[in-house]
Amino acid sequence: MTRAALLLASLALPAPGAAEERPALTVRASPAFAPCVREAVAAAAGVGAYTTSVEAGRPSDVSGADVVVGDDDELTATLEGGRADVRTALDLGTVPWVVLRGATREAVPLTAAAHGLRDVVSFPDRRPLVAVAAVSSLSGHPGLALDLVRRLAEEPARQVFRACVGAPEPVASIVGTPRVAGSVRYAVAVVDWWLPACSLERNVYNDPSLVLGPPDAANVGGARPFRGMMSLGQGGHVVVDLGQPVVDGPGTEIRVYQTTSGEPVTLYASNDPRSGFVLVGLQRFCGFRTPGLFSNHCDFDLADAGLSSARYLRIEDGEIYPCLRAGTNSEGADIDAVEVGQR
Amino acid sequence: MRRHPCADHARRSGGALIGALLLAGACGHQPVLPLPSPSPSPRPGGTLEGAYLFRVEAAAECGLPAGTFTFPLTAAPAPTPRHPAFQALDDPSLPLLQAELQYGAPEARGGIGTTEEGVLSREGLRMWTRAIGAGTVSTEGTGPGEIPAGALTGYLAFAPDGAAEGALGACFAAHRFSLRRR
Repeated sequence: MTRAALLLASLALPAPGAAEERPALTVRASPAFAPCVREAVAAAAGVGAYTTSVEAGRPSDVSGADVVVGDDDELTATLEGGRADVRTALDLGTVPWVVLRGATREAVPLTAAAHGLRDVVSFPDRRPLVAVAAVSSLSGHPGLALDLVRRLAEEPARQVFRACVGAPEPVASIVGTPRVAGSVRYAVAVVDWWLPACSLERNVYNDPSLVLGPPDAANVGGARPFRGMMSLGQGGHVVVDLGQPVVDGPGTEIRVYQTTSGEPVTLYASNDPRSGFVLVGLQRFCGFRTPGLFSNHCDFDLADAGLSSARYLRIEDGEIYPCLRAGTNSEGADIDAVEVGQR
Repeated sequence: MRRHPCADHARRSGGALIGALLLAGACGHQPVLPLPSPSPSPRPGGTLEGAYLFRVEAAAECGLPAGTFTFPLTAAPAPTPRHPAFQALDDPSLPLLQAELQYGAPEARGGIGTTEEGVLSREGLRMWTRAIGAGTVSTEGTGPGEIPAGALTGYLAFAPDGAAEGALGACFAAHRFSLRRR
C-alpha cells in the first residue's frame, strides 16, 4: 500500500450525505499551480463529504490551509520541518518552464502563459516544476484532507491537471527507472565526512554511517521523524568506499538516494580515498521518485567525468542554503544510500 | 702620504649611514645604498579572521553581467571536532550570504550560499549563489590570510535590485572569486 493509503485506512471518514454541515477544506497552492489545481479539485472533490476552496498563496504558510500544493523546492522545508505531513505527500503532475514571446530571457512556468503554447518560443533545459500536495499539520480535518490529496493524485483529477497545464507530449516525468534487482551493491564504509560547525549544531541527522547499505530511510513520526539518513548541512559532504571499483558501462552506474524532496546533490569520484576526486555531476536534482521506497534518487554516469572506474565517491550537498537562516533540523541534501550497478 | 679619505672611510667601521653616503658621492663612487628589503612573498596558509571583501566574477561562457561584484564580509574561525574551518557572513545578525569553508591549510573549501533574497553588491546588482568555493589561503606580511584567487563552482544568478532572481541570467559553472582583507 502507498504511504497515503495506509494513513487513510487509519482515519475515519464521515458518511457521504451525513446530516451535519459538510466541512470546508481550503487548498493553498503556489501561483504556478493554483489555476490547474482549482480544476483538478473540482474533478476530485465529488464525494460530497466536504466542500473545497482553492486559493493562490505560499504553500509554506500552512495556517488556515488543509492541503498545501507546491513545488519540491518550495515544500522541502515545510515537509522536513513538519508543517505539512510528509507521509501524505503525493505528486499531482509537472509544469514545464518556458520562455514566452516578447518577454525577457527569464523563464516562467507554462501556466503563466496567457494563451498556453501559442505564447511559447522555447523550452529551456530546466527541471519541470513538480506539483506536490500534502496535508497541513494545522488542518482541522486531516482525514478529509488526506482523502482529497489521494483523489487529486488519481484519475480523473490527474488527467484534468495535465490537460489544464497543456504541456506538449511527452510529459516530463520525475519517476526514475527501476532498480535492477540482484545486480546492485552499496557503499560499505565511510572514509571521511565534513559538516560545518553551524550545521552540526542545528541538524540532528549527523551520523554518516547511515548512508551505508541499501536505502532504508523512513518517516516514523514524532519529534525526530526521520531515520536512516544523513543530512549534509550547508555544503557538507561524505566520502564512501564501495569496497571495489564501479566500472563505467552503458547508461548510469551510480544512484544516490536522497530523502523527502529534490535537494540537489553533487557527486565526485576517485580511485584514491583522499585525493584526485573528479566532478561527475554538479548540483543535480535528486528528487526522482523511486516506486516502493520512501527516498527519491538521482543517477550519475562515470562517463560524464571521463572515468572508466571509481572506488570512492564523495557525495556533497548541492542545496548550499545559509545555515543560520535555515528553518529545519535536516538542512542540506539528506543521503539515504549510495548504490552502484548498471541501469 | 696622506691616505685618501675615501680609503680611510672604507676601512672605518660603524660610520653613520648618511655620512657614508655623502662621502661615497664625494669620492666619485656610486653610493652603496643598503638594498631595501624585498617585498615579502605571500606565504601559504594563515588565519582567516576579520573584515574582508568577497569578489565574484561570473564564468565568461554564462553570459551573465560582466565584471567583478563586491560584498563586504566578516570572517571568523569555526572549527569542528574533525576539521579546522571558518565562517564568513555579510551580516552576522541576519545573514543573506553565508560561507562555511573547511580549512586544511593552505586549502579551503566549502559551501557559499545566499537566501532567497539574494545579496546586494556594492556595484548595485543583486546576486544569488549556491556554490562550492575552493582556493588556497595565503598571507602577506603580518596580516590575516586571504584567498587571492578561488573557484566558485555552482549556481550564480544576477538581477537588478528589486527584480526577480535571475532576471539578468542564471548559470551553473566554475566562476571565480577572491577573499581579500579590507
